[in-house]
Amino acid sequence: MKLPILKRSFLKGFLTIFSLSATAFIFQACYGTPNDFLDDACFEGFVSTSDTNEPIPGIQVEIKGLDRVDTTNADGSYVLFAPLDSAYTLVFKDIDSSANGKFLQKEISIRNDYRSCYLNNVILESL
Amino acid sequence: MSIIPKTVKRYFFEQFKDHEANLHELRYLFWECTLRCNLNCLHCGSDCSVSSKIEDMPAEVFLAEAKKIAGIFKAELITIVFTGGEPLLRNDLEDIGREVRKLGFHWSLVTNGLLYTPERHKRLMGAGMGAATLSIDGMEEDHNWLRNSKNSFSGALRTLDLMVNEPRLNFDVVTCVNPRNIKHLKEIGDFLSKKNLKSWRLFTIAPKGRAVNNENLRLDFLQQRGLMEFIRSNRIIGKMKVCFSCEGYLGPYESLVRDGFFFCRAGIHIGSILIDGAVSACPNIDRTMKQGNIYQTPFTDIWNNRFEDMRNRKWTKTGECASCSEYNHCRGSAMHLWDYEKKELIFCHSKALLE
Repeated sequence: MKLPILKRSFLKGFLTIFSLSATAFIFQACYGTPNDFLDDACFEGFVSTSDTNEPIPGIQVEIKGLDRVDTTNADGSYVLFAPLDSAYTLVFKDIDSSANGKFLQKEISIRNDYRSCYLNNVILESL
Repeated sequence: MSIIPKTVKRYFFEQFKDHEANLHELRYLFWECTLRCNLNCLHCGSDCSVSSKIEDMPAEVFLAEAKKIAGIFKAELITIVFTGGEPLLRNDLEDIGREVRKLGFHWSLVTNGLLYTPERHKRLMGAGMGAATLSIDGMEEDHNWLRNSKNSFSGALRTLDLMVNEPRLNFDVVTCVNPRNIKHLKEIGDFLSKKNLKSWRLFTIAPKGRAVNNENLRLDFLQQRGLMEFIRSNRIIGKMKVCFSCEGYLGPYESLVRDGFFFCRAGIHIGSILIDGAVSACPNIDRTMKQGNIYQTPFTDIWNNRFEDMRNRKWTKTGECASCSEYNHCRGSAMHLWDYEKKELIFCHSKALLE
């Protein structure tokens, strides 16, 4: 069916607006998962020793009350994502016994100030 | 009951499909991250094995491609789906997920649940996993039969419990309906609903992979109709939504067993990077339909310049489809149901429901 130019451009505009909402929120591939569109808060930083300022690998970083865990890499870095909330507590735990030295557990509190990413470099004291 | 007649809705939906094919904005990217699998399911469309001859794609290769995609497309509107094989066999899955989430993508996982432990759950969620799909193909006996493993059901249940208790996770269960479990759909539905599942998706077995030579896995006409009637009369069980997967055009059951009309988005919104770097739409599409390879051409170039046969499907009006009265709505059904070389539709849901 052929439509006049004005009607065609109206239809095109309507479909463009419609497509933004429709494609973004509805579909799912037949053998895939549901789409995901929720935002997360991101927490990243480095963990180092109070003695030498050297990075500490193998420190478990956990967000208290949420099932979110990462372990620091060889350079002491960690990255964690969590759902948006008003406040968070990050717990830094030495879980590899004395492999990289022994360190005291530390907790830090973070208030949500609507940043997408929170940078927290943490220094742990030796046991 | 809607006040807009179905014919009007369909007209606008056909216009919408043309418009979307014209825009072809990437919204969903499958990554076939491994072909290794810890199960040997009777119906597997991937035909995976415990030790695949094809090595996993190195993380750095995929991440380099993901960076290029994020540089050109809107990463925050794209979900990357880790599929396989069994993706959890990769020990670097969390690291890769974390990197793609940092690039702005959302990411998700298709799993059989066998390797999904509480510890792994915390690490995957911490790495920004936002969605997941778990396979549960019946109650214990039926599930373990199809999955060909006596431990499979307990692993899937452990995963179900972890996932339903995670409010951030956009999660559903898929059930592959076959002649054995179709008699127990109500029981399975009640069980999943009591587990507080919010979304249950049912699908049937396409004659692909291992299922090609196994007639016992396919539903006959009465069972196909029975499945549609079951879904139609059970769209909600408790607080759980029930639907049929978008695996094909359903003729008389269009919009009754799914939200909205059928639209195969392969190559229109959906792309994939396969294990060997090949680029296609969905991973279950005939591999002769691949559009390029990331080892030679960036994915973004392939997406922008290829996929002609998926965005313009006039070539599917052939064989039985040429004279089918449903063709204007169906448009050749789903791409994965085509033998591309023979230009032949290997299964027509609509016909199977009308025979």
